[in-house]
Amino acid sequence: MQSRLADIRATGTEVLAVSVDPPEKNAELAAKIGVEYPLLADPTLQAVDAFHLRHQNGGPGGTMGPDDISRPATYLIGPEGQVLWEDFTDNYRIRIRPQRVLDVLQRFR
Amino acid sequence: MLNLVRRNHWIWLGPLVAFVGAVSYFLVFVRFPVLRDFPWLNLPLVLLGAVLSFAGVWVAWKRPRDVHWRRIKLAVAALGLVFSLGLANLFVWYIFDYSYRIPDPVSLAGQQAPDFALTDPAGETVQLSDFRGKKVLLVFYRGHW
Repeated sequence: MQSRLADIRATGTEVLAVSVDPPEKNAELAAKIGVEYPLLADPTLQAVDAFHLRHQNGGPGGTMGPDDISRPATYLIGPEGQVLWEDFTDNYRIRIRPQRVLDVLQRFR
Repeated sequence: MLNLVRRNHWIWLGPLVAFVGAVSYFLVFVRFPVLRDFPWLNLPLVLLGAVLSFAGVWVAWKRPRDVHWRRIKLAVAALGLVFSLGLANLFVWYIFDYSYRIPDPVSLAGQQAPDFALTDPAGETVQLSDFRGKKVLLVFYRGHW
């Protein structure tokens, strides 16, 4: 999303990312790949569970016990907090492209 | 020593290509969406490695310059082939099977998005409800970058 962030923000939309990684790791990653939107930490899977996205043992954890992560998902939340649009990939390697997001944002102007 | 390695390049070339093909997908090419979504570069490389490994066994079999060395070369080439085939198998399984094994999603379209309070990289708490009045593109990533 970083590559088209300016275009996304121009539509009055903010970008928030969530993963189970801790804040320090997110800070490191944000600096490394130059992400300008917040990478939010959800190590207890609070948000992940609220959105029904828990992927049990989906992570490489193994020896440290169960390693639950999030299933990938993208939502467009409206100004009143309602879910306007959602997108779920069926393969975790394949992520939604920014252009598709911009097309969706056009629809919901 | 270097000459020995170069003259027998058929024995190690296949496994090397297979290894580079598989590993470079995860280390390098996942950063490019087109090559990540489908391994246009890496899958052919891995398969090429497997094919070259077959060639390596064939060359070791067909070049009986020194009977003693031939058996050793054949054994090494065969090991290389097993390695390449194993790697190719793992890679194909990962691309076409494993990465599809994610839980079915639950549709929330039209519903009120659940609120949450999470920590940003600076240590500040961010709530989804902080953004009322604006649209939010909320992206959930797998994590473990």
